[in-house]
Amino acid sequence: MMSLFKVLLSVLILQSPDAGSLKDQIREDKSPVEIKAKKLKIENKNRKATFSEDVIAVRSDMKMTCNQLTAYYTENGNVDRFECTGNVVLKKGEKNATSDKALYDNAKSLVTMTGNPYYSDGDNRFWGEIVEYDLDRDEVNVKNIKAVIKIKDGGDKK
Amino acid sequence: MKKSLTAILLFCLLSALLSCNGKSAPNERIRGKNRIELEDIKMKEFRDGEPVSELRASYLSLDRDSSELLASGGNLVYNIKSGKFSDRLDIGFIKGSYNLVSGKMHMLPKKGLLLENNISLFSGEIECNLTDGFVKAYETVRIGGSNFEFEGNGFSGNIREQTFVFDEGIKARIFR
Repeated sequence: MMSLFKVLLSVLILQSPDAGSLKDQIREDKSPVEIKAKKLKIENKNRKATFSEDVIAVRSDMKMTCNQLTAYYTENGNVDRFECTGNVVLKKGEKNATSDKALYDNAKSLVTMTGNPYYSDGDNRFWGEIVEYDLDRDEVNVKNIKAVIKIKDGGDKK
Repeated sequence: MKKSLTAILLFCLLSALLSCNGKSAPNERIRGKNRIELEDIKMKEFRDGEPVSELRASYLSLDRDSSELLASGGNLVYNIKSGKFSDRLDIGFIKGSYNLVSGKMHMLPKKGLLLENNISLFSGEIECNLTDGFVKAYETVRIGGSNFEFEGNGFSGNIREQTFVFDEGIKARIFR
């Protein structure tokens, strides 16, 4: 009975005039990125801070791990981007992505993964040259894509 | 740095000479042969006509036997220049000691070290050497900018080279 109610409710939401509009899909997450690591080196002349050893960066339900994370800050003391290198793993819900390198644009909340990037969403798997993950839109773009999509009857389509 | 030490020594000698001529500052006392005490002082050091450092303190004493300078309730501003890089170190301190020979300094900062490009460093007692720039803290240190906070233990670094390392309990937050 409860599941029938949920289905009806979701149909009603989908039929509403504003449902699915782009504006609703963009949800700016203002929560900070929290980073933990074993070592941190700050080079103030070069305006960069390098975290290394067991690096974990978390923002809301997004978790990223890597060997080294370098945060770059401006003259005004504002971190505008950070770069993750070595065994980069990003997880957000059922979405997983791995690469050798990832650049995080702090203002746009956009992660650009390069160096053998791989992305999976549930049973669907994607490979490409670049994986761009827009965290606000929860939207992933893969350039020069190769994919394995799971279809309902259980077979894979490439 | 040698010039900085020379300036402090010259200042102290000048203070001693002034006192001999009966023109001593009202809050100056000389205890025994080798100790000078000063209250409410302001010292400025210039290099090639440019201000290099400025020290204000409510109390300052110099033990000439141990070359130990003690100061409390004050503020030290130090202009750092290294190649094209220049910055300003601003430390408000509760108390501090400085050895004129070794350059070693212990300081209990009031709020933190303020670097001019909106980067602040907050710590408990710090140990540093103004000659080679070495700095070390024994408690948790927090470095803050406009949209970030880094904190951790095991802090050491070099003020002159502007490099700092944490090797324990690191937590950082980057805001949008």
